[in-house]
Amino acid sequence: MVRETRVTAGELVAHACRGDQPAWDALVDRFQPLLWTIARTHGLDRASAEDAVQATWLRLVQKIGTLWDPESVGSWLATVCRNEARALVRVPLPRHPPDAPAAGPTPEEQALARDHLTRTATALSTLSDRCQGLLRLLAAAATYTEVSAALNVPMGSIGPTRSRCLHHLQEALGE
Amino acid sequence: MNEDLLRTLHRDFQSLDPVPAGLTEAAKAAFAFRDPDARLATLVSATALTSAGLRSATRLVTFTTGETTITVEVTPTGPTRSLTGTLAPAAAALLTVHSPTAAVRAPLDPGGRFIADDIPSGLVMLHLSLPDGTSIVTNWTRL
Repeated sequence: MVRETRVTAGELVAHACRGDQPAWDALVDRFQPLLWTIARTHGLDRASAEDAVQATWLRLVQKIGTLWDPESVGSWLATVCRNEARALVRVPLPRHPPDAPAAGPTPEEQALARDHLTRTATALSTLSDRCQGLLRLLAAAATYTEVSAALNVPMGSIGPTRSRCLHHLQEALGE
Repeated sequence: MNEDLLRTLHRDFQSLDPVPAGLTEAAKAAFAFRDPDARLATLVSATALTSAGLRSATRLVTFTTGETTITVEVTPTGPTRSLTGTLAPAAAALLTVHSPTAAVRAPLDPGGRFIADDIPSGLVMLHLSLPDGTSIVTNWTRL
């Protein structure tokens, strides 16, 4: 997934520091999928994940004027969200998500979409928690720096793990 | 090929486990708490009070800016919290206890003491308006 690159994260931070609400909204839209993924891959249920993510944004509101590297705000958010998630109660992630919501407009398309989601969920459930978390973070457009901050793993380990996990997923999907 | 798979996976996760819409609204609304002129009092300790060697449900939470210290006793009362605290050095400040969705106000007495009841459990931030026109805010903290 490619992020909107016209305005950099650092520029959005600079605008938000001057009180620009649209710049703040753009930061939220840009990093919310990453933060949600971090909270969920740390094993939080949806309610606790909401708590961790909201706490992360509230902390950024207070710290936005004093970030040492505004361009790396994504890694800063990832680190704070990981710490918030770790502070909350851990519950196991469901292996098989219940009832995937309908995605297509016609019943046939809905059925196809549901089949596809079930197939994906089943394939993912055969992977280790570590692989599931890593792939989900990368799918949420996390950079290696952000993944490193989110999972507290060295950057150099991400590339090899990514290849291995994608390979397992392709096998599980029968591709 | 791998990029395509990750793109598909991203769409799948958005269907399987979507970000709650209300959460994104709340994150955008959080910007209203921006107060660049306030001094930040950071959490320095949070300990359970003990009485007769037993840990009680009451906790003692301390924030400081360096010059100013805010000490708060937090007592659970059903689903809410009661706060009893002091500001040192003392000042006739006005306290507002913010949760992400509500605010409770309480004036400080001349000794810098305050009481605030019916505070929702969860994330809380204390905002103190001082008589000299400046203000102090604490970290967001789970009480």
